[in-house]
Amino acid sequence: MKIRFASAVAAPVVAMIAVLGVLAGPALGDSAADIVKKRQETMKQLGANMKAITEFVKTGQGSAGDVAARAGQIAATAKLIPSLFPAGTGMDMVTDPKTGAKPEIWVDFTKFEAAAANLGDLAGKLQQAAAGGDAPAIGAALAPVGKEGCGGCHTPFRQKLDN
Amino acid sequence: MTLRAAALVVLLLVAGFPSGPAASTTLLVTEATRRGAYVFQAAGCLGCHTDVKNKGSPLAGGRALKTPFGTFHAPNITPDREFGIGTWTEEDLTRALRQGVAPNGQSYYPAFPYTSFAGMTDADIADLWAYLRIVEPVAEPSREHLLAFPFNLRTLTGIWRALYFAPGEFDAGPTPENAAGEAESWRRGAYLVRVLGHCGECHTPRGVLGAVDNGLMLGGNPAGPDGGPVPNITPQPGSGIGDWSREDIVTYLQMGMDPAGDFAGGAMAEVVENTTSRLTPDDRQAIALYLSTLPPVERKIVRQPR
Repeated sequence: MKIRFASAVAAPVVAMIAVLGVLAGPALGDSAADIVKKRQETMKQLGANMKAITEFVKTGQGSAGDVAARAGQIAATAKLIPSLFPAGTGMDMVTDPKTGAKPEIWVDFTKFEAAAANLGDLAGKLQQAAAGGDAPAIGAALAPVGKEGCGGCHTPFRQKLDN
Repeated sequence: MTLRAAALVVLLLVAGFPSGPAASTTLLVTEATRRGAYVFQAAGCLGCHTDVKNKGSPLAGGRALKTPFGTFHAPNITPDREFGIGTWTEEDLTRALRQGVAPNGQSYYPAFPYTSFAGMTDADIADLWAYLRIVEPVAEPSREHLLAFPFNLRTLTGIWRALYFAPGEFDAGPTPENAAGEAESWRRGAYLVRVLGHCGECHTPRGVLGAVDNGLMLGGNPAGPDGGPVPNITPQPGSGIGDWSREDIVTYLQMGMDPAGDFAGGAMAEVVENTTSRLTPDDRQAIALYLSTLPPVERKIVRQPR
């Protein structure tokens, strides 16, 4: 099953990664501003993936293979999230570019890491559902990724920025 | 009473539900309580009347609403006779919602959005009342408001009410041209947004004495109930949601995802969870239609320094 899935979606996955860009954590020597920029790019990428997956669930645009690839990328990105939030990069420390990272992140960083890990788990489940190809199952697995995965971090740890 | 209904009553009594006078009939789930549950969700009662953060019992009150005037705590609205609204009548609820006046004659602070709920239909109030009678009573006292002088002077609420509140039936106004073919949905949307959903209580800015400024209706509020900014949701491109399609609005209401793929957090995530995701698809469409026809307000909401 796994092999059949791989052969069926390998090409789209490769194409997808080319389109979406390569995941990047912070590099040595990055300034606080660089890190803020990098994580904002990362969040935008997560958003683009969520949007595309939602589009598939709502209108059938795209394919279950695309969804699996995108969910896989969300899961992989979730693992990088804590490394994108080193101390000293919160909204109280960095003003240019503006960031909505609340100081609460560093009050209990373990909790923050757990929230990011939860996104990874939920996205992993979505990836599995997508590999199964069953549209209702994909829809059911998508809802918690947004609500608990994205929302689970945004509610306690993010101040929404002005447009 | 049918046999099944009677069986249910017996079951509820055995299960240890309070059995005051008339309890056996009021505990029944009826068409009215079912409709009332929907009104209850659409009106978002749960969000303020439950202290979710501290794992409070549903509707037992306690959520802190921080405002420039101090902190309000929504009261216990369960049918508990001592601490909740168990001794109220339907007329009491009607007066609270339509007039902003409590059974003891005191006016409410406008933190309770009676200014929006005043437009509720008779049918919705009757159904909501039916539903509120069957929720689990909780014997917990409501918390006091913590307000700065002079806002702690309760008599002022009557004066405020006289100044800023005009009771009366809700009138959505004439259907705009761009909703001409969907007048009924548009009127429903207006009712959901301005009356039941009381969206303007957060999304419309307030003046010095806390009255919403309807000249800027839904144009955003730099100081929302959690202190943070609340966005402009008029169809103004750029500063509002003018570049969202109606389908974008529907998706947001259904699952909390904006057109960038970003997910609501904070207070709006709760509203999506408790209210907008539970509405019928037709009602979400009606809200999207209504919002997309609002007069656009050019007003960028900026975060206040912490």
